[in-house]
Order: sequence, then C-alpha cells, then structure tokens
Amino acid sequence: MTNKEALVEEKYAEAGTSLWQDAWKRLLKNRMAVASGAFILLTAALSLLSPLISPYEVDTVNYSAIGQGPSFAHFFGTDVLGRDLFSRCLFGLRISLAIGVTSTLVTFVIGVVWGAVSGYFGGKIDSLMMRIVDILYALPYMFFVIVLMTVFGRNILLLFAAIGAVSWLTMARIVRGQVMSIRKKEFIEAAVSCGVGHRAIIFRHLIPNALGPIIVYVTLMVPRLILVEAFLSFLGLGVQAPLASLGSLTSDGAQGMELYPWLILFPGGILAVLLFALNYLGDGLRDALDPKMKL
Amino acid sequence: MLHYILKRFSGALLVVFIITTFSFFMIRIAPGGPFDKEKDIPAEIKKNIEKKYHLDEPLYKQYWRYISGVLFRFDLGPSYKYPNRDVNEFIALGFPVSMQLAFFSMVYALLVGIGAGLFAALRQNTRWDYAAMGFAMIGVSIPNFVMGPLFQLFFGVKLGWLPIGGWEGPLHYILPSITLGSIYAASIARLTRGGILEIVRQDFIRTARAKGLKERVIIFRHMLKGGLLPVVSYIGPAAAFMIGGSIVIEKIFDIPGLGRHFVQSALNRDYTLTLGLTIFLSFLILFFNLAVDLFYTWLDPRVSYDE
Amino acid sequence: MTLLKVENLHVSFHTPDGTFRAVNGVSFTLQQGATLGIVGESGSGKSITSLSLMQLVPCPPGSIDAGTALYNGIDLLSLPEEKIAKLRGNDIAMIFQDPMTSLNPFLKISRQLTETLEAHQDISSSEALQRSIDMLELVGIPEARKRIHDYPHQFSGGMRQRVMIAMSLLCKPKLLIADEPTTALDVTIQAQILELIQKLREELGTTVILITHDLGVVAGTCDHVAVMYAGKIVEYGKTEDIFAHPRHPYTKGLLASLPRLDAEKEQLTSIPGQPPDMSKPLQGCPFAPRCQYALEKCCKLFPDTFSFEEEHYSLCWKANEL
Repeated sequence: MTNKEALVEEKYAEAGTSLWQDAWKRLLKNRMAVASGAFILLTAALSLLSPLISPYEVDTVNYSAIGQGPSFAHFFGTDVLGRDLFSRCLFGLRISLAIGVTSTLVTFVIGVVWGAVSGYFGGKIDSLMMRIVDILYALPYMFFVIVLMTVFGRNILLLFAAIGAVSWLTMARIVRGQVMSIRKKEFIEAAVSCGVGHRAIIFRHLIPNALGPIIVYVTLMVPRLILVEAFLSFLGLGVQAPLASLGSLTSDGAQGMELYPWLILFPGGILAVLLFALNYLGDGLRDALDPKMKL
Repeated sequence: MLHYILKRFSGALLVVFIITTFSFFMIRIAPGGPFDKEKDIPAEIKKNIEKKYHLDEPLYKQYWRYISGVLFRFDLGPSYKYPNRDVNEFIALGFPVSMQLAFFSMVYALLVGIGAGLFAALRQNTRWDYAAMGFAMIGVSIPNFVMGPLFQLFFGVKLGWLPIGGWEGPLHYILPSITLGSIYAASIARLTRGGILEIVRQDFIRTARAKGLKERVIIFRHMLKGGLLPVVSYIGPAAAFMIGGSIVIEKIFDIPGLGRHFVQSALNRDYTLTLGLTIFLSFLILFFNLAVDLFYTWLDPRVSYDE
Repeated sequence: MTLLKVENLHVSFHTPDGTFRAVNGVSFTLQQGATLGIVGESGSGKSITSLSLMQLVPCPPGSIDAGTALYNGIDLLSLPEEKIAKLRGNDIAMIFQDPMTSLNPFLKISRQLTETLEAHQDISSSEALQRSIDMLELVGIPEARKRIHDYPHQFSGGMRQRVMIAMSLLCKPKLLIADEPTTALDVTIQAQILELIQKLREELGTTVILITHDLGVVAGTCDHVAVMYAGKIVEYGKTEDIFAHPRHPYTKGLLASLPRLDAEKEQLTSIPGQPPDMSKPLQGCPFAPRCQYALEKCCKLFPDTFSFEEEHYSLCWKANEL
C-alpha cells in the first residue's frame, strides 16, 4: 500500500505552470525574438547613455569638415553642415524611441480604456462609442495627421499627441473584441454573482485576460509610429532642426543619396534594423502568447 | 441584406457629413488665410479677392454655402490657390491615377503577402518559415522614402531597366507599386501565416486528410477560404493607409495623383482643395469598407448580417 | 477472413515537457465483418491507436516507433504518403468525435461529400452529386436533395454526425473506424446514431472499430471488446464473456461504475486516482496505484498474459482469482 500512496503523492507534487510562464518559456525558445529583444534593450541603453558617449554635440557645426565619409574622427562621417553623423544618430535614436514609446503609450491608454468600457457595458453605450470609432476610422489617417500638424504648428509634444490620437482606434477595437468574448465566460459571471463591482471586474479580471493580443499589438505599434514620424519628417512636418530623429536623418540623407551615401545608409540602416527587431519581437510575443499552440 | 446595405450607406453619408463639418471648422481655426502668403497685394485688392470667395461672410454662412454645394450639387468648390480650377477638376484628373497606383500596390501586397504567409505556415518553424517571414519583414522595416529612391537609383539609374518617374505606361507602375505595397505585404504575410496556422490545427483538416484528398486540394480548397479571413478584414484599413502612404510615393516618383496636392494645399491653406480631398477620400474609404464587409460574408457563411 | 492484423504498435509524442508514450505495444486481429469495441479513459491511447492505422498522427511531434498493421498483406504503417492517401476514405474510413469541428464550416456539404468520390473514383460531378444525395437519404437526412447545398452550421448535431457517416461510407470502405461517434451528442441521438451504424454495417458488410469510453455503448453494438489502459490492451475478449466475467480489475471498475436503474446504491462507484503520467517510465502494472487487488508483485513486475475462454485474455497477476 505504501508504494501506491507514494506514486500518487509524486504525481501531485509536480508544480503547475501558469500561462505566463508557459509563454515566457516559449518566447525564450524563439532565438530570433530573443536576439531582437536583446538588440532593443541595447539600443535603449545606448540612447539613454547618449549624452555621455556622444563624441560631439548634436548641433555642432564644423564648416571645415563638410561631407566627409566615415573616419576615425567621425565614425559615421559628417553631413552637409559638417555635423558629426554618429552623434546625430545617437540623438536621433533617442528621439525616435521616445516618440515611438510615448505615442504608443497614449494610444494604449486611450484605446484600452475606450475599448474596455465599450466592450464591458455593451448595449447603447457600446454602439455609441463604436460609432465614434467608425467615424474617426474613416478619416484618412495621414491626412488627418497632416492637417493637425499644419494647423497647430510643429511642436514636438503635439507631434506625439497627434500621432497617438489617431492610432488608438484599432487598439480600442481589439480590446473591445477581447473584452466581449471574455465577458461571456463563466468566471466573469461568477465574479458578478459574488458582488464584485464594475470597476474591479474591468481592471482585475477582464484586462489581465485580454492582455495577450494587447501586448502584441502594442509591441507592433511602436515601430509603426516611429515610421509615421519618419514620414512626417520626409514631408517636412516632423521633428525640426537642429533636433533630429532617425526618421528626419534618413529623409535628409535620402536627398543627397548619390553624393553622400553614408548619410542615408547609417541612419536608415539603424532605423531599419530597429524596426525589424521590434517587429520580430512583436511576432515572437504573439506566437508565445497563443495558448492553443501548446504542443 | 438589402436593409443592411442601405443602413450602412446612410451611415456612411452621415459620417462624411460629420467629417466635413469637423474638418471645415478645424482648418478655419488655423492661423492664416489662403491669401496671406501672396506677394504683397494692396489691401484693397486683397479685400476684393476675399469677397469673391465669400471669406468676409460670417463663418456659419460660409459653412452653409459650402455644405449645400457639396450635398446638392456635388460641387466641392473652386480652388483658392489655382483660381481657374475647381476642386472637382483636380479630383477628376488625379483620382484615376491614384486609383491605379493603389490597385497595383494592393495586388502586389496580396500576391507577395499571401504567397509568403502560406509558404511560411506550411513549413512552420523551419528555416523556410523564418526566411519567408524575414523577407516580408524587410518591407516593414525600410521606410518607403528610402526604398523608393534606392529602387530608383538601382533599377533606374544603374541598371536602366525601369523608368524612375512619371506614370505613362505599365513599366512606370512597377517600382512605385512595389515600394508602396511592401509594408502591406508584410502585414498580409503575417496575417495569412496566422490564419493558415489556425486552420491547419482544426479537426476538419484532419477529416479532409482522412478522406484521402491530395495535399494540394486540402491547401487550396480547405485551408485558404477560412485562413484568409483575417486578410480580408485587413484589406479595408489597408486601403485606407495605402492612400495615406501614396502621398510620399507620389512625391518620390512624381506621379500625378491626388496625394501630391494634399500637403501643399494644407500648407497653402487652400481650404476647399484640402477639404474636398478629405471628403472625397473619406467617402471612398467608407464605401470600400462596406464592399469588403460584404465580401467577408460571402467568404464566411457563418456570418450573416440579417439579424 | 482476417482483415486487419496489428502487431506491437508503439506510438509516442515528443514535447518540450517530455516524451509521452501514448501506445505501448498494442496488438489485435480483426476479422472481416466483425465489430471491435476499444474502450478506455481519455489518455488510454485508444484514439491514437486508430489514427496511426491511417498515418493520421501528426509526426512531429508524434512518431510511430514500432509495430506493423497488416491490411491485405500490406503494412499500413510503412506506406508512403501517396499510397496511403489512396486507401484513406476509400478502403478505410474514419468518423470523428465532434461533428461540429470535423466538418469544414466554409464549404457546402455537397462539396465535402462529392470530393471524396472525385478523389477516389473516376466519375462525373453530377454522378457524384447524385450518389451523395442517395447516401444522405440512406443515413436519414430529410429533404436530402435540397439540404445537400447547405453549410454545416445549418444542421443540428445529430444531423451533422449523420452527414459525417454518409461522407465516410461513400466509397464503400471495407473498414470503418468510429472514434467516439456519439460522445458529443445527446443521449437520445446517441442511440439513433448507433442504430444507424449497425444498420449500415449489416447492409454494406463493413467491418467496424468503435472507440468509446462508455461500456454501455459497447454492450449493444460490438462482438469483441479490447479494454485499454496506459497505452496497452489489458483485457480482450468477446463482449458477452467480458461482461459476464471480467478478468481485470480495471474492467471490473468500469463495469461497476456504469449507472444502473436496478441498483439499490445511492452513490455512483468510481475508480479512485488518476491515470499514470505517460512521460515517465512505468514499473510494474500501470493500474497498480489505483487497484484494490494490488499485490507487492504488481508494483514491480509487469503482469503476464493469462488466457481464458475463446480469445479472452487479461494482463493481471490476479486474473485467475477475479
């Protein structure tokens, strides 16, 4: 009999793994995603340290060093005003990441709250809120941002806000979809019947369970918004000189591509690799968080 | 079904109306009028010009004049910047071109995206999967204002195979379409891969195999229809974004479409042109979204709008 | 005449959490025209056994490690894909547990029916359609001519399962494997479906393997029963012999847990404990931890096979005394 009991004991002593732990394990197995994640952390660290490691100021003009190729004095070369490209790239990296993250945060907050409330309450409130989303959705995105920028000038804060303000729509839709499907599940009914209040249900039960696709979308939003800023810079509406973002540096570089190829290759290359890494990480997260792919 | 279409249609009109009103007032709020940047005009003449365009009237009156023009006569007004031309003329000239660009870009995006996504899904987690998705990913990592000039430099100048600008013939369509479509190809590839992977796991695929059907039949008859649903949902918003992205492409490749005018008109405070383009495009997007939704119901027989 | 002879089948699954040995040395012989019931709990390996016969187990992560399955002298397990595809749906057909998910929701029933015929036989599409309609009528779908153009979601659960049965029988297969065909259905519909399978078996002479966890289902329909536990057949015999005198504690437990109208007890009997973790190597009899008759010997040494009446055998040290 002791043997039998021992066998049963052993079976139940094994620890269970939560969904998040499973996802983390899966993510770690995806080497590309891990590499991307490491790269992103590295760039984030670099950009935070940029004031310390930049050899030159971002706007130091040096007329005697115009249009030089990469060298020891200037790792990435100089631009048409003799400014050191390496320093400018570091600075631009910081600005681009800041824009991407901040705009995404704005998008996230507005989108999640809007979508969660709409999906949770349903009925008339949902119809109205989603109506508004539909209307805004019909606005040609770029057009709206352009109008905003031309109308209200080129304040960098406004830039973040404008970009974030038009991007929350899809986030709201995704969150609403998630909330609606979870709302119908039994554990929510259980919570309601125990007398848990609306706000607690939304924040404590719904949102954590809806988090999967939201996290994925957020990770994929950052590169998208960095690109939007790059477009605006190309059109002359983005970050203004002497400030720089990877987007503005790349678009400036695009003008002089034939004569000074390094002016587009370095910032463009960094931008491309950063976007690539962010997208790969987002995809990896999506694969890792999908509970159905257990086997 | 007809009831649904009508409902959506009238909803769309309402939306356009709201957008028009909103945009109208918003662009008026901006400091500066359409004629402020003109080289010094004597005050007298400036006043006369403004009178001609009714800019001296109270705002609500201008609004009513504009709205009634749009609703009853489809007249989007004259351009302020180009005095002899109507907004409608601009649209008539630019729209076909922009439409073609959008069409070919979408075709490219769908072919490459679905192809890569399907390929990757069927060889999940092998190096082919990573390669196909990596290729698609490039499209999303290189901004089109970099890709465009790079293409121009390489295929146009160095190799001389393709023209670098203009829109005269089929050869001219290639580079701009690829440049514009690449970003969407990446998203479509991702969506296809995800959609197909969902389907591959389903029981009915096992049933199809148990019936002894050939692999090719299983892929194209059983997997595609359900697997492409997320892509279809995406096409609507994709078209909308594509129109936005076309602005940059048209600038790079010197294509005489609608996008070209937009930034300039906003900067010029050419109210009517800006507004007109916005209204026109919003309407187009709404209409297109409706068409896509209807297509979706045809694809997925479980969904029905009759309730 | 022997239709199918399975010998020493071993199937395992390789996952990040370990290698699960799902099927551990299963052997049985199936005569033409017979009905074999394979009974066991979830995880006993019964479904995997049948799926591997048609190479429908996804490999990876699965793998068929050993064994042969001789059908007409050919080993099904070693056939290349193109050859086994010709047998699937044609010589050997399978119906699955959940008709809701086993039919493609995006295609009309007509398409899903005719494609089986078109894949295996050289007939025109109109002929295929007609035969499909006839088969639908045979399985009891009313207004078959009209309803064949509907989608799966337009049918009720019981109807869908009938459609699945029709689909599987279109090419007049010699062997039909029914994997828990009634588990997802209401009890009343269950009876109808089982009756249908019986009727078709009689009319078409099909040999049937019926997989289920419910001994009650087996009682009325199968002539032989194989009881599976932890990937092995622990008892096998003619249905009436097994029911009259079960020779394995697990079988006894299963029979005892069947709810009966004539019993005086108020509580249902269940078998205590859980099935073993198949990723760890087993020592001794896999059922020992849950067995009320277990001896010291049972935990250390895997039981021999003890034979009883015609074809009746059991893998238990105490088989003789039960």
